[in-house]
Amino acid sequence: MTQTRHKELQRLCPGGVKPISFAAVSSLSRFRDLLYQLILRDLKSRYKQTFFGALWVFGRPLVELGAYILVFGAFLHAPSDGVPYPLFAFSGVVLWSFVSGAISRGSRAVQSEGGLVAHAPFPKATLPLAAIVGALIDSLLAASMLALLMIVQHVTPSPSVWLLIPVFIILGILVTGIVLIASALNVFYRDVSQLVDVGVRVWLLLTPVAYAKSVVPAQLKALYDLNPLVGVFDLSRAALLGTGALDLPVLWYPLAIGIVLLLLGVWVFRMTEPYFAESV
Amino acid sequence: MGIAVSGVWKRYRLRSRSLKEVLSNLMPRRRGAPPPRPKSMWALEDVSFTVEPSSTFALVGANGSGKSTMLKVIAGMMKATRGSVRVNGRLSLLSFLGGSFHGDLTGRENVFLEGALLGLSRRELRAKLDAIFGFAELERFVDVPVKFYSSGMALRLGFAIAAHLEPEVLLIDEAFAVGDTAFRDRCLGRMLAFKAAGTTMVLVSHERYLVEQLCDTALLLDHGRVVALGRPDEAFAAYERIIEADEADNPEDREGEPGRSPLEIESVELEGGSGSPEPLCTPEGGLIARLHLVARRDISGVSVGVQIAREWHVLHGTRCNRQGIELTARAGERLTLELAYMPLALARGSYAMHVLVYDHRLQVTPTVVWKRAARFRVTLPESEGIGLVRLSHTWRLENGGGRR
Repeated sequence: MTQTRHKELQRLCPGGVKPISFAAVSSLSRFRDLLYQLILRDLKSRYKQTFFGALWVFGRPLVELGAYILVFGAFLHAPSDGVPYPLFAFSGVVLWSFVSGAISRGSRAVQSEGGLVAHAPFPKATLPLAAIVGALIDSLLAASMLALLMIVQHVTPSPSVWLLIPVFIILGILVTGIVLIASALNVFYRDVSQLVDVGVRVWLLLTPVAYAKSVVPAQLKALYDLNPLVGVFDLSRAALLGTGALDLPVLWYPLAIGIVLLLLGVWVFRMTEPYFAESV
Repeated sequence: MGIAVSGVWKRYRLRSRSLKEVLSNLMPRRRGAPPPRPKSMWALEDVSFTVEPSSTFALVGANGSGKSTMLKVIAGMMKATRGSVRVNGRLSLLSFLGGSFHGDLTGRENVFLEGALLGLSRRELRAKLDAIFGFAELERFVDVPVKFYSSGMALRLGFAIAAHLEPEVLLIDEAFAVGDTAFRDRCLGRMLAFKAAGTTMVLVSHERYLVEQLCDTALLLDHGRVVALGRPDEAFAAYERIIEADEADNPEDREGEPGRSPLEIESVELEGGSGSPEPLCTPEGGLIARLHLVARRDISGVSVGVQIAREWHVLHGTRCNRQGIELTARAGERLTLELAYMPLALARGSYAMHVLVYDHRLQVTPTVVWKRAARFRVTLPESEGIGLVRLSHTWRLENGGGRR
């Protein structure tokens, strides 16, 4: 039966029988176009029907920064490696807003578009990727405010500020891996987004965002350094504000973890994608 | 550009695994406890068919028969549990039209998003933007946020985008229940244009006349299994038999308030055709229905109606008071009403007769409706045109044409 059908098909499609897959249906340009439109939609829709509109992009990090200055700066006198605390905290907040924004938005990206996922054939990976790019845009806008703050405070950026580019790339790889895994699994189990939320909050406390790494007791240092973000945040401050020696090899560890997570993420996403439509 | 579906099976999970379930599985099951609900179901069972290039194929069947699942498997959105699907050609699926629309964005912005989802490039969309809004008749609403559109307007815009695709294989999931008559006509015109352009189409539809007009082949699915594969009219004939069989399972189909009915409808007897219980009639032979009734109490001015229905369309309805008959009787008295259709001006097919009882002649809503009180089929000696009824008509050539 199957044999005759295959013969029949060979007759129908003399040019060769291609199995249908996303590789065949959607070319790279289609993927790119869709990703662009999804990012545009998120950007345009996020602040519609808000009174302050796009000002929220700046509002959120500012409020966060205010809380940090109050709690860690004024109450706890957290060490800030010799730079004014607001500047110290803000540089951390900008980087962290990318990590937390991308992970918390990205991990829900597929599930929250359930109707679309169940009814339209399109490359689903565009959804989490659009969320990540959206978070990146937000944190770059916040970075422009950081630049403004530096000008106001008469702080000249260190000449190695270009190192922020590889820093963002490494963060991007790391975050994309996590988001691909979380967004795919969240389709099947909503526990994942709960877990991710808790995880992100704990991760914030275990990362030198609001305080300098120097507060960590020596005997816990090795354990603390297992967090791949420690080196990234440390180095990016050193690169921007000149707070310490540039220890470039520190980036190898987060890069390696990022690549492992990314490969794992791509694999998980590809394996689970055919089951999204019926499970979302 | 053909499609080949061979031996496709698809199983759905009906619930997701949870900690609660894992824990309760560890516990010994109490005796007498209800057995656990089924964990999965087969939505498709061994479905095979081929869609020839440039042909139009219909998937028909009741809700839940697996049509949409089949379409999603063909579109590559779902993975068949067993079997394989092969598609050759650039594919588009129309379903959930306008489903991606974001209320806060304008019509224009949404067209770019939906278009990208359907696989149109930005350049193509820019070129076709005016045509899309023209097709949807929404030129004045291009820059209005979609949340201010009516649902009909949003659907029209959704279809308009789809109408401007240039796929080689087009899958359509009941996209036709859109808009008003004029727009539906335009949609049908667009479908015919796709067909003329050699697009291979697979469509899911309940609309018999659309399918018969558009499709070369139809596949009837019932509970995930292939029941019929052939010409659309053959598939629909099989579909009607399935519906009838389902209805025969619950013959007591009385709606309204049977307890309050002044009359008991004992039986309906059909005369004029051959065979029973479903006589085969001809238009010329006509049809006589005899309604055997019993008065439940002393009644006066009661009216009885009869409707002839095909699927869910009522083709004709009449009630006896329109011809001056109002029923008056004492409790327990038997009455027989006769209703003659001569000729029986119906197209070939299978029909049901509903019987309705009204307390008095001015009552609009019947007190009781006995759905499908009787059934009959109509056959025609000669070939007919299309449609639901058979109007008596005569063609005549008045002048020209040069008689030889």
